[in-house]
Order: sequence, then C-alpha cells, then structure tokens
Amino acid sequence: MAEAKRKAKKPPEKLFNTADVQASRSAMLAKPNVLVKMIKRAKNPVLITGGRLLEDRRLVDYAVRMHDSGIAVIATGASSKLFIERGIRPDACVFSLHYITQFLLDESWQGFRGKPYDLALFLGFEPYYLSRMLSALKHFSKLTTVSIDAFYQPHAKFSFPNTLDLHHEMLEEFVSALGGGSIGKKED
Amino acid sequence: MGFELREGMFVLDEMRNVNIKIGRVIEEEKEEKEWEPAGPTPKPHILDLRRWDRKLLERYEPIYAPMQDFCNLCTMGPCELSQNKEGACGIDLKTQKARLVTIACLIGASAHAAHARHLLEYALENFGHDYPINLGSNVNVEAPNIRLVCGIKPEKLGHLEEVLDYVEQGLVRVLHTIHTGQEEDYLDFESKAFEVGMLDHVAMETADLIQIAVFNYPKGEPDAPLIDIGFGVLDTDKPVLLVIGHNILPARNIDDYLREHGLEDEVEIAGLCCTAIDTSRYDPKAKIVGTLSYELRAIRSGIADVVVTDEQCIRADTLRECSRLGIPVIASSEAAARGLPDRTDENPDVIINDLVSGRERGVLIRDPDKVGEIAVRVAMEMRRKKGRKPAFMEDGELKAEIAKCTACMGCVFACPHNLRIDRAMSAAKDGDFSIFKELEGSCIACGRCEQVCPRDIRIVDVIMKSSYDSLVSKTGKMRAGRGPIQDTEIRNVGQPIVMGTIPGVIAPIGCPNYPRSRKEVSEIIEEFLKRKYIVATTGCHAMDLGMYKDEEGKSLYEKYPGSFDAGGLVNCGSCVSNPHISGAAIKVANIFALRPLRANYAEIADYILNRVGAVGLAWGPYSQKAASIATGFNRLGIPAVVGPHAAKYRRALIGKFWKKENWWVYDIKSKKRMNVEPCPDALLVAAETKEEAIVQLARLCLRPADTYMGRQIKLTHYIDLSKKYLGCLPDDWHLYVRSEADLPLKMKDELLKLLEEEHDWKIDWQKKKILKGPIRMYDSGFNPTILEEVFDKYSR
Amino acid sequence: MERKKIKVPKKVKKKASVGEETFPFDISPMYEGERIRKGEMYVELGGPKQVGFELVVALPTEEVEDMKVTLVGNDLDELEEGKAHPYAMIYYVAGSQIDPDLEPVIERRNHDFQNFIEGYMHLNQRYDIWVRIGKNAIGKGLKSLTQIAKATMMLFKNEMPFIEKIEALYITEGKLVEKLLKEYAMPIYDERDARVESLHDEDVNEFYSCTLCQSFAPTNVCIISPDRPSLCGAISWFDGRAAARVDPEGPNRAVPKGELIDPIGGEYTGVNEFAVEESGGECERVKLHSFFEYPHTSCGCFEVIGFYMPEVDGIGWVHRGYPEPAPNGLTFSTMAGQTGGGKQIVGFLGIGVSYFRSKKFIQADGGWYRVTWMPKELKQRVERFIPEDIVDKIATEEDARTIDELKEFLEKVEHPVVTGVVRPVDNKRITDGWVKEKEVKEVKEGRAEPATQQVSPSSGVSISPTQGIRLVIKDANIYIDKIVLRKKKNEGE
Repeated sequence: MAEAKRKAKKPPEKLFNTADVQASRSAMLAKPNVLVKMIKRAKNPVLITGGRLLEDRRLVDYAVRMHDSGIAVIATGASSKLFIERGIRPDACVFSLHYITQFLLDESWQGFRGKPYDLALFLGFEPYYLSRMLSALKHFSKLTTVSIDAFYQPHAKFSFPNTLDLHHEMLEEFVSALGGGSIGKKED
Repeated sequence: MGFELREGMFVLDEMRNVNIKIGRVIEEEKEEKEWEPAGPTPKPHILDLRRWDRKLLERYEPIYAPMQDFCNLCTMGPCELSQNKEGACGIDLKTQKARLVTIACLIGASAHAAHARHLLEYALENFGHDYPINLGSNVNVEAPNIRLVCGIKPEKLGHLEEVLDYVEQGLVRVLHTIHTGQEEDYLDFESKAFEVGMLDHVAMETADLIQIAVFNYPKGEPDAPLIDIGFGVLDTDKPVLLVIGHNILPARNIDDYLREHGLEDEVEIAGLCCTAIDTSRYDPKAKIVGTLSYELRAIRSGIADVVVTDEQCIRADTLRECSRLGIPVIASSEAAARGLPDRTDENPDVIINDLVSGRERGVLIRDPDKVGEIAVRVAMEMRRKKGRKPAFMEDGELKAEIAKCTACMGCVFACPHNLRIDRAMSAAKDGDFSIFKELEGSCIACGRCEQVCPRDIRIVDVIMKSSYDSLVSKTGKMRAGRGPIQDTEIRNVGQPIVMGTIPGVIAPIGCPNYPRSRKEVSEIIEEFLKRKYIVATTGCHAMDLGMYKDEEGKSLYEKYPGSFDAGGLVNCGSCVSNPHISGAAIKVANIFALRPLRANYAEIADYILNRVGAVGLAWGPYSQKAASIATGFNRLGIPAVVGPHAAKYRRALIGKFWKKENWWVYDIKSKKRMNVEPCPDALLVAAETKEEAIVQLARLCLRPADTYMGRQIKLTHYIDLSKKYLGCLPDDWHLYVRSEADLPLKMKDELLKLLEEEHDWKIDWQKKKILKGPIRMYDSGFNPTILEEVFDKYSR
Repeated sequence: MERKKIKVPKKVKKKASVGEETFPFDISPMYEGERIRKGEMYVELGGPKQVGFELVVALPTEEVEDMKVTLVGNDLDELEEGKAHPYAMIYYVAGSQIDPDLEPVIERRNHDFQNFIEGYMHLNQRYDIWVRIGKNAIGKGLKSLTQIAKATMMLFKNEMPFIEKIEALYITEGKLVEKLLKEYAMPIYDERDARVESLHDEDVNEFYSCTLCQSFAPTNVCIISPDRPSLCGAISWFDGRAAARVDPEGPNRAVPKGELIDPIGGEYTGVNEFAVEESGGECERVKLHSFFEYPHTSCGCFEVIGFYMPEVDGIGWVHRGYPEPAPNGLTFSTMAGQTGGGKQIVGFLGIGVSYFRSKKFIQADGGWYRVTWMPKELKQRVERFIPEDIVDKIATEEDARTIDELKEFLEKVEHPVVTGVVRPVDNKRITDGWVKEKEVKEVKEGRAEPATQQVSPSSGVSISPTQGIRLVIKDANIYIDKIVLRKKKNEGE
C-alpha cells in the first residue's frame, strides 16, 4: 500500500517561490532533444553542480555521464568530492556558485582552463539561490544558461519544468539523448 | 568696552567692519583634553571616506543578483530595468540595486540607532549624564568604534549624546540620497551603504556600552555564567512570561519586579531573540527559549500566559496568533504598537483586569517601568484561570489534520526552503513521522505554508506536534554575553597568532534563516574550535550554538572555554554586541602597532584588511540589520561568508583572483608597489553547503602579512579541510605559497613536487628551497598598505 | 660529555626499519592538546610511574643512517595494554650546520611534533616525558613505535632542513633506559644547563634578531642575546641561532655585534646598524640592558611591563593578567597602551618573564636594586633570581597599594632608592636618593610620558573686557569655535 502511495506525482506548474517575479523574459521550457542540439553547437559547455548532489547520489550519476559526453564540470557546494571519487577532476572545486557567477559575468574571463564557457548548465542547487545567480547572468551577461534542476528556473534562458519526484526521469531522457556523438571540444 | 556673550552673530562697538561669530559656549568640565592627536577623519560624512571605499570596491567588485528587475518607487513607473535598461528617471538596473542595498543598510542601521537613542534617553533620565562608562580594568579601549569614527573617548553617559547626534544626522544624510533623481553611480551608492554600515557599528556600540554600564552586565569575563536555553527548559506548571524583541528595558522591569516581590522561583521569564540574550546578561537565571525561528513555535505551543513584545524581528501576526489562543499581549514600543490602545498612564489594576477577563486582547504600555507589574500579575492570574492545554493541539487532532491533506504541494512551493511537507504528510498518514521530525530541524516556523493550504491545515502545528519530543528535548546551555574582548586577551593571543598556533578568528553572527538544519552552525563551528581557531559569536547564532549537546550531554559552551584564545568560544552578546568583534580587530592595530585610533578610520581599516585574519560567518541572515552589520564589517576590511539565502540581499563583494592587476600593495619597508597573493579574495560571498562554508572560512583567514608560521598553519587547515570536504587539494593553494616555510610540514615533499610539475616552479631539491614561482617571496618585514597616505606617513 | 652512538647490547630484542612509509594515523596541528584519558589509552610510556627520557645528540655525518629507526625492547603488540612502560627516544642528527648548541632546540620540537600525531599524547620534556597512545590510534592501524619514530623524523627534517640526516633509537627495555638516563642523558642535560647559565653576551660574536611580530607591529625588532631573551618568551638565543641556520634571510637573522660601545647598558655598533635597518629608521640606538636610555622596543605581546615612579625614583613591574592598579594608579592595560608598536618609549618597558633571570637584568639602572614594587604572584614566580639582600625590600600589593604607602614602606626597609642606588656591576652610585626639599629630582630622560606625544601649543587670544587696552581692528572676520566659561575661583584667571 505504501508503494502505491509513493508513486511520483507531476508537480503543479507554479514558481518555486510565487513572489520571484520579474518583468523580463521567463525561461523557455527546455525539451531534451533541443537541449542536446544546443549543447552540441556550443564551443565550451560547462555543467555547474551544487550541494544537492551530496543528498542525491543519482544526480551524480547523471552528471558523470554528462561529463563523459564531453561537457566540462565545475563543482560547487562541495560536490567535487563525488566527482573525484569517480576519477573525474572538475575544472574547479573550491569556488562557490557565487564566485563562479561573478567570474562568468566578466567577459574577459578565460575560464579555468584557458577557454571561456559559452553555455552553462546548472544542476543540484537550492532553488532560491540558483534563481538569484541566474538573474544576475540574465541581466548582466549574454551567457546562455540552462537549468536542468528539479524546479523550473524562471531566470535561466532555458529550463526544465518543475519535475521534483520526476526529476530523475527527465534527466535520464536528457542524458540518454546526449550520450553518443561528440559534444563540444575538449582541450586539444 | 562691555559686551554680552550670546551664541550667534553680533557686532562689537569700537570695532569697525568686524563680524564675530561664536560657535559653542560650554562649561569648563566638558572641554576635551587631548587624549590623542586627532586623525584625518573625525565624524566622517558621505564623501570623507570615499577614497577608501573606492579602493575596496575596485578589488572586491560588486556583483548584483536582482530580485525584481523593475522599480516602482515613483509615479513615472513602474519601470522595467531588465538587461540593465534605464528607467524613466534615468537610473539603470545596477544602480537601482545598489540603491536598494543602501536602503536595506539604512533600515538596519536605523533600528540600532533608534534602539540606542531609546536606551540613552532612559539611561540619562534614570542614571544621569555623569554616570561613568567603565568596562573593567582589563578593557582600556572601551569604545573602539566610537573612538575610531567619531574621535571621541566616551567616559560618561552624557558624552554619548554627541555620538548619536552624529549617527542620526549621518543616516538622514544618506537617506535623502535615495530619493528619485539623486545618485547616478552605483559605486557611490555602495560607498554610501558602507558609510551607513560604519554608522551602524557606532550606534550598536553606543547601545551596548549603555546597557553594560548601567545594568551591570558582564564586562568581558571569560567565565560568564551559563544560561539555560531551549524549548524544554521551561517549567510549564508555573506561569510563563514570554518576552520577544531586542530592547532590554521592559524585560528588565519584569525581572526586577519578580525579584522585588520574591517571585523569581514562582514565575518563568523566558525570552526570544536578542531580548532573551540581554535579559540573561542582566539576570543569569532568566531563560531563553530560542531564536527568531522559535517565535511562532513558542506562541502556538500555548505555553505562554502573557506575551510582551518590544521592537525588531517580532512577528507581525503576534497579536492575531496570541489572541486566537487567548494569550494577552503587552506591546511596549512605538515601533510595534500593534493597533493596541495606549493605556500607559492608566491604573494597572484596571488594565490587568481587562486583559485577564479577555475584554482587551492586548495593550500598549510605552513606559518600560510599568510593564513589569502588569505583565507579571497578568501572567499569574491567567495561569490560575486557565487550564493547561496540550501544546499545539490535542493528540487526536493531529491525525485529523493530517488526514485533510490532498498532496496538492502548495505548501512546498510556498515554503522559503521548499521543504517537502507533502512527503512528510504522506508518510505520516501511514504513521511514520520521521520526515516531519527531520523537517522540524530546518523549519523556521514562518507559517507561509498555512497561508496557501486549500484545506486550512495547521501545518506548523502539525510539524511541531509530531516532533514534540525532540523539540522539547532540545535544551542546551549558552554562555551569557560577556560584551567586550579584554585588551589583555588580545595581547595574550598576539604571540600565538604570529607563531602560528592560532590560525584565525571565526565570528558566527546573525539570524537563523539557515538553509537546512539548525545544527549545521554547531557542526561548522566545532570543526574550527577543534582546530584551535578563536570563535566569537553574537545574536541568534550565539543561541543556536548552545542548543545542541554531544553524547556526554555537553553543549559547545561547556566543551570549550569562554576565553578569547585558541579553541575558545566567546559569546559577546546580542546583535548590538557585534561592535565588540569589530572593535577587537580595531584594537589589534592599536595594541600591537600603536596605530592611533582617534578619527583614523581608513588607516585602521587598511591595517585590518592586510593583517587581521578574521572572518564572519552569517549562515542565515535574513534582516536588514544583518545587511548593515555585514557592510560595516566589510568597510573595516573584515570579510564574511554568508548562507545561500543571503544571495537575496542582491549584492555581494567578490574579487577576481585571476585579475592580477587588482592584487597589489605598497610595501612600506621596501618602498615598492608589488603584486600580492589574493587574500582575502572576497568581502562578502555566499556558500551553499556547510562543507563549502567550512573550506571558504579557512581560506578567507589568510592575509598578506602572515608570518611563515602563520601561513603554514592556515594553509595546513585550508588544505586539510579541502581534502576532507572537497575531496582534493584546493584549486588555488599554490597562490598562497611564498616560500618553502609556508608549506604544511607533513606534506612538504609532496607539495614541492606538485609546484614543480603542475605549476612550473623552480625547486632546489638539495636544500628543499623554492627558487622561482611565487607571486612574491616571503619577507617578515613586509609592511603592506593600499593607501598612498599611509605609505607616505610611515615610509621615511 | 662526549657525543657517541649508543651501542645496543647484543642479547636484547630489537628491530630496525629504514626509509619512508605511509602512516595510518593523521598528522595535524589540530591534535595538539589532545588529551588521552586513562580509559581511552592503550599504553602509557614514561610518565609518573615509569622512567622515560628524550634526547637529541649531534653526531658526525658518517655515523648517522638517515631515516633509520631501531627499537630495542617490546613493541606495541607486546606491551601490556592499559599499563605504563619505560620509554626512551634518542635521535641522532647530522648536518654541516649542526653543533651541540642546537641539540636542545631540536629536542624541544619532539614534544610539538609528536603531539601532531593523532592518538598520541606527549607531555613535558627531557626526563619528565609522559606519553600516552590512545586506543583510537591502534584502531586506525598503528602497529609499531617505529611508525611514530618515522613520522617524527619526517617532521623534523621538513621543518629544519639543516638536519641532513636523522636516525632514531627507541627503547622500551627498562634496564637499558635507566642505565642510559643515568650515564648518558643526565650528564648531557646538566652540561647544557651549565652552558646556558654560563653563556653571556660577551661570550658570543653575534646576537639574533626576530622580526616575526612585524606582521602586526611593523617597526618592532627584537634583539635576542644570551642575557636577553625575547619578550614574548618564545625564542632564546639558541632558538634564534637554529632559526637563522634554517633561513639566514628569514625573520630570525644573525646580528654581528660589531664594536662594543657601552658594556653596562649593552650597546653595540652592529646591533645599532641592524636596528636602524630593520625598524625602518624608527629605532637608531638600542641599549639592551637599560630602562631609561634607548630601551629595547616591544610589540604588544610582552608578558610584563615595567614603569617608572618618579615619586620614589624607582621602577615597578606588573604582569599581564594582574587586574588591580599599580601604586601609580594605572592598570596593566592602561600602561601597556602607552608602549609597544615597535616604538622606543621611555618610562615604560615591556619584557618577558624570562628576562628577570638574566644576570644583566636592567643592569645600567641598578638591576634589582632599582626595583621597588611587583605583584606578589609575579615576585614569587621569580623570587629565586632576586638577590637576597634586596628581595624583602621589594614591595608587593600586600605592602603598598598607593604611592604614599610605597614611600612609607621603602623608607622603613631602607631600600637603596631612598638613599641612593649603587649599581652592582661597577659599584657606581647612579641615583642621589630621595631629596627632602620641595624640588623633586628627576632622572634626565625619565619623564613618564610617551616620547612621541605631541602637545599642540595652546594659542589664542583672550579678550578681557577691561584692563585699559584699546584695540582698533578694521576689516576683520573673527571666528571663535568655542568659548570656555571658567567658574571664578579664589585666584584670578
């Protein structure tokens, strides 16, 4: 009986915080196959991960698969430990998302490995925290931002819808579409 | 020749074409003697420290994370400012955000300034202008912030009037720049915000000096008494008086009344928020229920027989909530009158009768010295009259409330933390309350969930009722706020800091809007106490640090000594006690380098920025006061790591370590301008998880003037903690190595190898020396400053 | 005492191990101060119940086998759990810059380094050592004392690169420990103590400097000589020497004495040159053993402050932590605020407690014979260094709390300041004693106020309404910031 009750529900189409409203554009819902095409076109896409990975190891699995398909990783919120355990060394480990956002806002920044990032995916953050950072990037930079996190992020350019308990399914769909075929260019 | 002496303008006979204007006429005793030559900026106003602010802002560039992208302050709007567009008045998004930052700081600073003024008026009236300000024989510099900013040495209460006059003027002068059509440059707004933050520390110091002096609080004693804290410390068989807020005056009167009438053991007085901290400084037998996030819990539990509110950080639905449960409310501040009738001058017997009978839900009593009698007698009568109901709800009600839930998830989306209340409800329907118990540790009891629930479930009550056992069993001990750090304690730690046995100072301060469990603050801080950092705390953090006990039943305050020393946990007091922490940093400059403090803000801030390895931790700031306090610390050169909710303050100050041109100093010793390692590389930055926060705190303790032993110990902990929590060496450790003596001993060989292989440094392997590679080589005489005038002053 | 390698008897159980290894335990300064209680301990070594000692010995390089440890006696797996056992740790060190003077400096670090080891507690030094190994360390995989030795040796080499080779001999066999303590270690300890006692400023060619505190007090330079240790208490002349060997360009450097200018005050040309350079010109001359003339500077961390009381023409001392005011009415903190910061201030002198035991303790000003007051707690601590003929004449707070009470006391005991102090070092009479007339004799530079204080001259014109002066002023603007109303007293203005 408990199992039946645990079946995941589709969450309501609300903002994670109804009052986090802005006048300007709201994120377009990202369909996985469209996302994949965008990523393949990008020169140096990066996945930025946050502290929620520490609470949900499945997210780490998806992140690793994304890395393996050629996307650079910046690990914040101490999520770096989880990558290193899997033999992956992220581009950066010690800087928080706040620092990373400040760096991304600066057009002169050449990234951590000498190549600027031109598309950023976000996974595993407290929604209200990520929202602020995406807002900063929306208004003060031209970076393409994509939220693949559990809540819809209005200030990204593209975002998954609210998924919550269905998050893993959505990520599976996306990461499967990603796998196979080269993406971006790793360091020469 | 005779003349009358009046203030103002007048013309003298026998003098032609002469105008004499007299400034002030005072009595001789008030004439100031020169206690120190005055520095360049006594009582600075907006533009006086602008140069210093610019230096900071160039290095620590503001980053704006807008909440709203529109402004609706004037009738030409609302104006959409996205992508940094300009509004109708010409202001752009960046500047508008900086304007909001200034507003937030103003609100916070005003709260403290008004609080200080209120205390001063009361103190002058009841204790007199000549009442001495004396913090004991080990505190020589009694008012570091006031001395530094105002250039005044306050020896008596009367001297503080001048200080508050200056603060209040300063606040108005900044406030008017918020008006539409004023400041154009966002950096100038930030400079004004800094100005306000600085004024805030002066106002807070004034407030705390007054209360310590006249109410005889602890004066820097390391072994201040331990106070009972927590939900379970109250004896609910006795009448319970709950005081909520920040102003000691009504609570003190209650406490006095109890003692005068021999009722201390008959009636429980317990507090929430800073009033609680200050009441326990006044009377160590007073109890503390908890922080701001305990307010709704405490009220809803029904344990209070009367609630007394004063000012700041009190729920705006206190009266509504209390009335629902039949608890009378006594408001005591103009700041929060709650729509209640002002019955200050009426007969207490009549008031008490009205409250007890329920004729009045509450009253406003503006005179704090009348609150005691009314509050105590009401509490006692209420207790006699009413029975004891089970806390929050009856046992049967719990099941009924939970049954109402339809899993619509509205609450999840209303909760500031997006807690999965729906999951907790679903599990509870099967009799499993474990998720609720876990939630309770993070819930700030704000009540937003209830506001959106379509079935009107009393969600907060459900959370509390299902976790009642753990809620009640969380009791702890907090050391009473001791106020200042003693000058001798600072002298005492000079050698260990230089010799590297004390790695730094961590200051957990501020509000309880933590990202997850309240326990995290204790976990973060204990990591540093074990490593022999000094910890100094105030406010809600100080309370939460005492709330958790280890397996042996000891709270952190019982495990670690209260001295300002290695592995010591110092509680300075309430929110207005924060200047004792900034003051300690200021005193370092005076005690060790004999730098003059009087009216010498920029030079001292520059000294602190380059030398004093102290970092604040505001893991859950929520208020405008917190914004202002942090900004005040920042202007002094002290960085802070904040929790993720703090991103909502919109502005952070984060330097870009990779921009080498930003990281330079003048070295007074070699008379050269040189590049320097980027530390601290931010003044205000958020961390998301406790693991991340721990590593950042260790990282931000490094300073350019570290001795090699100091740098070695700081790097040892930074690297250790990074390996422990991040799983690897930190990305930037090599930037902080100036010589082989900086390297942690147990890893020396390994690190030398990495420097050679990964960063192309040149190593002499025979002598194990670094030949080439560091940003600069270590020199113990290194005497850094980023101010040209300081450089000119000290280089010969 | 000849330094030689100890011959291990043939019939004793021993094991040896050479080279690096990885350690199962953590090593970090955060374990310093880690207390292992009886219930948590696996074994105790040395301590109050058993004999134990630690010793560092300098040997020629060919006699030392680098990173080798020999353990004589039972190892951890054979020692009875929960009990105390004998313990000796002997380290042989070799290096071109090592001499027997450096042995105690190196030896003292054994305590620090071993405390960095998780699960290992080391208290005291020399033959008082008290070691406990915790069950947690065993649980983590600690199997042998050789691992402890190797970890310690690694830390020694990393911190002091002038140790080119290091070898350890650990002994748990009781009889051998006792024998070596008596025949080998004790004579070396006694010899070292005698050396420290007998070594004076005139016996060495160079002093050592310390500029570590410049990170907080940018102009402070401490000059450390055999007769004047550092004022923070952390560095002796020998420590300075070792540190200068590690890094000659570092914060501790050799200071060649140069020419002797003043043997009594302790002034040298080399020291003066060094001081000028390292203090950025703040300090041009230093007399190491003088209170009044060119005194040594301090940062803020001095343990004791000396102050001059002109009323008694004597010096008093107060230690940090003494809460009451001294007879001059000032507390430690207040007086301490007058000095420090690397500035040369006459009238207040910050020192370390260990300076009290120096034979040259402020000898330019009469040493102990000029000292009139100190708190009882401090006096008791240094009593054995105070000459017998003056010790009872120095007042404490039990004898006097105010200047008047102090005067009374000093007169009663006939303290030298009353009649005139005779400086022991050259038998010269350096003060005149108290003069009965109104005129108070003051030592030339002994004004109790900071030398750097600037007094702004009062300027201003007083306007009095009468007195027959006519002022005709034309075309002037006079702005008066404030007028002070003075109450009329007996005398006129």
